[in-house]
Parts: sequence; structure tokens; C-alpha cells
Amino acid sequence: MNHELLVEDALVDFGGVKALNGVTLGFGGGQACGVIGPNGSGKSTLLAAVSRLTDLSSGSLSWLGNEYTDAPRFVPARLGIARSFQTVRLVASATVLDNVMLGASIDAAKRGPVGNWLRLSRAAAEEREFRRRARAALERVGLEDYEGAYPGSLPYGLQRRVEIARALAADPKILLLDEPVAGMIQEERADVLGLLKQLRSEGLSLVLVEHDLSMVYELCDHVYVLNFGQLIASGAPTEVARSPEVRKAYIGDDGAPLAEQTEIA
Amino acid sequence: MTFFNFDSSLIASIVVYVLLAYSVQVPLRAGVFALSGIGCFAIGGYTTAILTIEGAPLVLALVAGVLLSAGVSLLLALVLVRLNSLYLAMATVAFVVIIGVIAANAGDLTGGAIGLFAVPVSLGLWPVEILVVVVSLLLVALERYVSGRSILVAREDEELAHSLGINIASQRRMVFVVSGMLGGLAGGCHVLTVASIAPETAGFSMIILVLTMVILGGFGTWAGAALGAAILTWLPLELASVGHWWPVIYGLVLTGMAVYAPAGLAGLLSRLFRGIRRTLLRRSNAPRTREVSVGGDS
Repeated sequence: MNHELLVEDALVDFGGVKALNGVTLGFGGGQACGVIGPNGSGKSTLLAAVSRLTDLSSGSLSWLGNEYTDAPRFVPARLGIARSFQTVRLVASATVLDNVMLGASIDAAKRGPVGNWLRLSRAAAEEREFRRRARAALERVGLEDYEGAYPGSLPYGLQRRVEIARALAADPKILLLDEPVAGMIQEERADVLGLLKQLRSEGLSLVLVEHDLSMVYELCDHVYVLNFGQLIASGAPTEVARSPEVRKAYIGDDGAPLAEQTEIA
Repeated sequence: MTFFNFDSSLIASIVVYVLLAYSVQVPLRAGVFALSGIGCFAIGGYTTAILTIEGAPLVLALVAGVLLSAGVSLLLALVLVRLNSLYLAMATVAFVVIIGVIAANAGDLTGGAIGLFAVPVSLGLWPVEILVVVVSLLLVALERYVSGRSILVAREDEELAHSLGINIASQRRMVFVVSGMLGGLAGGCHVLTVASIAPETAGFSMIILVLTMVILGGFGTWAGAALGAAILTWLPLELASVGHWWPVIYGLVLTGMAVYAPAGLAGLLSRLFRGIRRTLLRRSNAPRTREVSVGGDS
């Protein structure tokens, strides 16, 4: 497998609680990878570690063979690793368009404040380009009519889509999604699932942390199962669903095939 | 009829204070509670005065003051890199006071407690006023068109800013340096307009004055801070009879604004305009509704 993003022997120790305990896995290669596991199994910590919002206690992270384990926190975004958050994080005082433009202006972020100020003369043209990218991203998630709204005035499901648009606007190489359909109604879930399938078919690598197993099975090429911070299974969705260890960890070993237990979330 | 006695020297001191208010507003808007720009006011002022007295060309002296302020601010940013909110505010207040103490005790170089006066400035007031206005506009344009969103997100949610590829540490250093340069330029321009500089320019009363300007006007908008600076530069001249009671007035203004108008005068004004517009809209809508109901009756 051709994984751009490799996590090796990752350990995250929150003062005695090992949220991740020696996890080795890979993401990328144009695949949609699912990360599942019970609450507190370390799924979100894994995403936080990969996007450098949480430090590894030991182990390593690498992108295209280059280690970035101890890189500054702004590095993953500049490498092309974009993410959404489990609880929506939008700037409440900025419009939807401005929020998405924050993702679109990744080139300006890379340059830093001094670099940007030195090319003030080209700022207007660049701003138009960022706006164009942001509008394109909003259109992809079906929110082109909401660009002037403020995030607080939108229902939760739409706010989540704004986050996905913000991540897409940065034109990432891999997209990390932390429960992208939580709090959405059924039609919205279907919409987002359709969008993610479309993105995968365009070659974008996805990482999906999700409680909704039906979504994971429908979308993902590969599934990692975490429990107590450890990787307990890895493989194609159908293989993983049959694994007795997974059944035990995830739903209690009642013998029912996991694929039928899709309404856990 | 002296109430609107706006002569050129009053305008000059207003624009200087606008610049100084901006040196505090820049970090505040970025969520960095740094008052070091006020210390740089003295650094820029003394540097300009000393070099001019030594015979350096005015413009060179002014530039030297701004560059020295930038350098000192960068050092300060590196030293205070881990401090935030109130701790940062306290450390930068200490910096201002230290600059004031140094100025008062550096002997002949700074003129001691009296300061430096009769600095041979021959530039006139208008060049200074134009310079300050140009710099202010440039600053507003930079924030509006170049750094606004990343400054906003860094203030609202640091972790989110990181995940969008924004280097908050370098942005913060930039904020310190810009604040210092604005303060230093304000100090230099102050010397160019009044031909003197004293240690009191870096001290507690100056900090309170500038904070009052920014809060009175409202640090949400650039116009607000400028408005605050203009009012608090002009008012004490008009109400000279108040004498030593000004700190009391500043205190009352600060408390009152914080409680009743946290968005400052600029916020009050925009609320007032919105209210007027709504009333006008309602008036212009009212007859039409009546017409419709009349039509429905018949």
C-alpha cells in the first residue's frame, strides 16, 4: 500500500492515561480509511496527533517519507493535511465565505505575515483568487446560497458542511474528518456521503473517524479499529466486521454480525 | 468662539495620538494584550530628539527612532513569548515604566527629569500630519486586505489557526514589531511637532490616557480609536479648568464605557445609525400597509 502519511508506534500519554498506546498505521494512497472504535478508544486523539494539535509522547509521524513528529503545529496544514473537527470550529464573527476563505488562503498562511505585507500590491488579485476558490468549495458542499450568513445562524448540519468546505478550499492532499455527519438528519448524511464518495473518486485521500458504521462500510476501502488506544484490527470493511475481537470490543460479543449493528451511533 | 479652535498644532497633536492609540489597538485586535507601544513612544521620541540635537537630518533621526523601536519590540516579543493576557499586560506595563525610569535617569543624554526641549525641528507641522495619515491608512489597508482574517482567527481560536497553517508565533512577533514601530513613529512625530520630549511620555498616566482613548472610541474599528484619540486630545485643552481632575474623568469614562458601551463610541454611533434607518424604513413602509388593508376592505 502506498501510504503518504505514516504513524509509527505512536504513544500519547495524558498523565498516566494512554490515549494512544503504540499505534502503527498509514493513511493516504487515494484511499478512504475509516477509524472506528468505542468512545475513548483514541480515535480523536489519533487525528489530533496526526494534525500536530497533540504531541506524541513517543513514536513518529511522517509525510511522504519526511518525519514531522516534532514540527511546529502549523506544519501539517502546509503539507496538505486538512481537517474538520468533532465539535464545529468556525469563527462566529465572520461570514461563511470568510470562514471558507481562511482555508482558501493557505498560500498566504505559508508565506507568513512579513511575506504577505511585502507583496501588498498583489494582495487584491490574490484575494480574488482566494474568494473564487472559497466559492467553488462552498458550491461543492451545496452551500453557495449561504456565503453571506454567519455560522451561528445556520443549523448544525450546515455548519459542519462549512467546515468541510473550509478544509476543501485549501486544496488538500488528504482530508481528515472527525465525525462529519454527527448531528445531521438522514438526507444530510446522504448528501455528505455522496460528496465524500465523489471526492474519493477524484483521488483525494480521506480519513474518516465515525460512529456511523454504515457510512464507514459504504465509503471506506480500509478500516482501522482502535480500542483502549491500541489498534485491534485493520483490513477491508467486510474482514473487520467479521473479526471476533472487534465484535467483542465494539458491541459486546453477542454473536451478531457487526454489519447488522449499524445504528449504534 | 474658541470651542472649535482647531489650529494646525492641535491637529498635529491629535494625529500623533491617533498613531499612538493605533500602537495599542494593533495588538489588542490581534488578542495580544501588549502596551509596549507606549514605551516605544518614548524610545522613538528620545532617539529623534537626541539625534536631531546632535545635528542629524530630521528624517534620518525619525527613521532611526522607528527602527530602534522595532528592534526593541522584537526583543521584547522574544522575551515575553510565553506570556498571555494579564501577565503579558503587566510585563509590558513594566517595560513602559522601565523606559520612563531610564529616560529620567540617563543624565545629559536624555536631559533627566526635565527631558529634552528646544529641539531644532524645522519641518513644519503639515508634513508630519500627512505622514501620520498615510501611515494610518496603510495600516488599515494592510489589516483589511492582507492580514485581517488570520489575525481574527488567531484571536478567536489558536488551535484552529494552527490547523489552517497559520504561524501564530511569527504573527505575534509581527504584531509586537508593528506596535513598536507605530509607537516609535508617534514619538518621533511628537518631537517634530512640539520640539520637546519628557520622561512622563512613558509612564502610568500615559498608559491610562491611551487605553482610555482606545476604549472610549471602541477598539472594534480603526475609526473608533481615532475618534477616541481626537476627543481626548482636544477636550483637555477646551476644559483646562478641570485641572488635575483629568485622571478622575478618565477613570469615570473608562468604567462607564466598559459597563454601558463596550463597543465604544464607534459602536454607539453605528447602533444609533441602525436605529434611525430602521425608524425611517418603518415610516416609509407604514403608508403602503395601510393602502393594502384599505384595498382589502373594498
